[in-house]
Amino acid sequence: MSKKNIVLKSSNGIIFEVEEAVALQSETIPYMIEDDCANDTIPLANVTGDILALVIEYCKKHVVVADGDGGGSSSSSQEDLKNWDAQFMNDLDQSKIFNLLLAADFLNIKTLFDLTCQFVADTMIKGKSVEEVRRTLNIEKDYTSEEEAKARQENEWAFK
Amino acid sequence: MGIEFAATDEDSGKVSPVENSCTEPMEVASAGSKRLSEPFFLKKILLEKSGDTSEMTTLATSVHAAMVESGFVLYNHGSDKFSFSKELFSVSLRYTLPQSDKQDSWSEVFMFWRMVKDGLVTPLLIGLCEKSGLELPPCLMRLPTKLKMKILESLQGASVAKMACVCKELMYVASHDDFWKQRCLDEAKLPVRYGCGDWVNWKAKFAVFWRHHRGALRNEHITAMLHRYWSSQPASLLPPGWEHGLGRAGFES
Repeated sequence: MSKKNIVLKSSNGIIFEVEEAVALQSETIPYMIEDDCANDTIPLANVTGDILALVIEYCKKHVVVADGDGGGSSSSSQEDLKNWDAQFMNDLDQSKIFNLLLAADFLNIKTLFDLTCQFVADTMIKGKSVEEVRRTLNIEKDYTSEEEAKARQENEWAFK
Repeated sequence: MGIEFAATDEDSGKVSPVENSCTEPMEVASAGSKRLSEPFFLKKILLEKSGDTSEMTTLATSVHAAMVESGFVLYNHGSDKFSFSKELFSVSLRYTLPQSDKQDSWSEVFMFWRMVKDGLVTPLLIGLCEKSGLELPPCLMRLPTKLKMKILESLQGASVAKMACVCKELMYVASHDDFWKQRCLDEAKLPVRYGCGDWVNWKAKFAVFWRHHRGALRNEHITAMLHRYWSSQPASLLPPGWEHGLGRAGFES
């Protein structure tokens, strides 16, 4: 018996056909199916094709691993999945990462959302100085020097 | 393997709208704004050092600097040093990787690509969009507040307090009481024994925990070090009752 497929359409018109189990890792898509907002094709107005491809790659990997264990989770496959996740994130540039975060939020894929938040925190913020964070994340300093000194003083405990 | 970078006069005709507007935020930056953005930094380093202000030189030198910094070398070229002149409007440089037959050369190429994109292209684009009022490309500050908070929640309390020093908006995002309450419960494991009506400064509570926590770690480290030192000394040199003294300070062997 063939599995049911779901057709997703990105904001720039790219069509992806995926197995239902892959698509249902998103908690948003079931509502769209129930609402019958499209008979065959589900339009995702907020997600571009390149980002949707990444989301699907992630969901496929995670659905395969869950299947392989029959729903259970051996520690080695958990470890493999963790390594795969790390490599998956490592291969992305910043703008893709933030787009992926927005897509994971919109599609409500909790594990991908948490993974992306943690990756941003660990690789772009953790262990960096204030100036390094500004540079890494392209944040403009809008403090005057007095305001910055005050902020530093209020949070001096964190710099110890 | 070779990668060719070519910037010609014809090319610059096509991209000139971007190049021309590129120079605006730079000029604004040098005209008194305190912003030290990447474009400003590049202009300062590249132009003030070389004294050559043509846009083509800036473009070519920027890319060349990024290439060399990533470990590429010029292909079929005597050395890595060469100079651009004011008259030079067409540059064609070939790059290769030293030992490019190595298996991991693709990861180096990727690292280079990401470096140019994250370090050069994205900052330039963000600066340009800010200046012209266009929608910003995806970056932390464009995320909705809810998502900014989620990212802060993935950090330790001390890192969040540092984030408050980055800019005003992050100071606001990082000041939510509920957030610090959660840090006190999760990270500091403080017991909650306050009624609903009491206002508690959770961030201050967390700061107290952090000071103590860091202090305790340091003390432990020093005590262990002292113990190792005295243990290595001949017994005759040891001060009487040293073990007892260190034990009182918190070290139990």
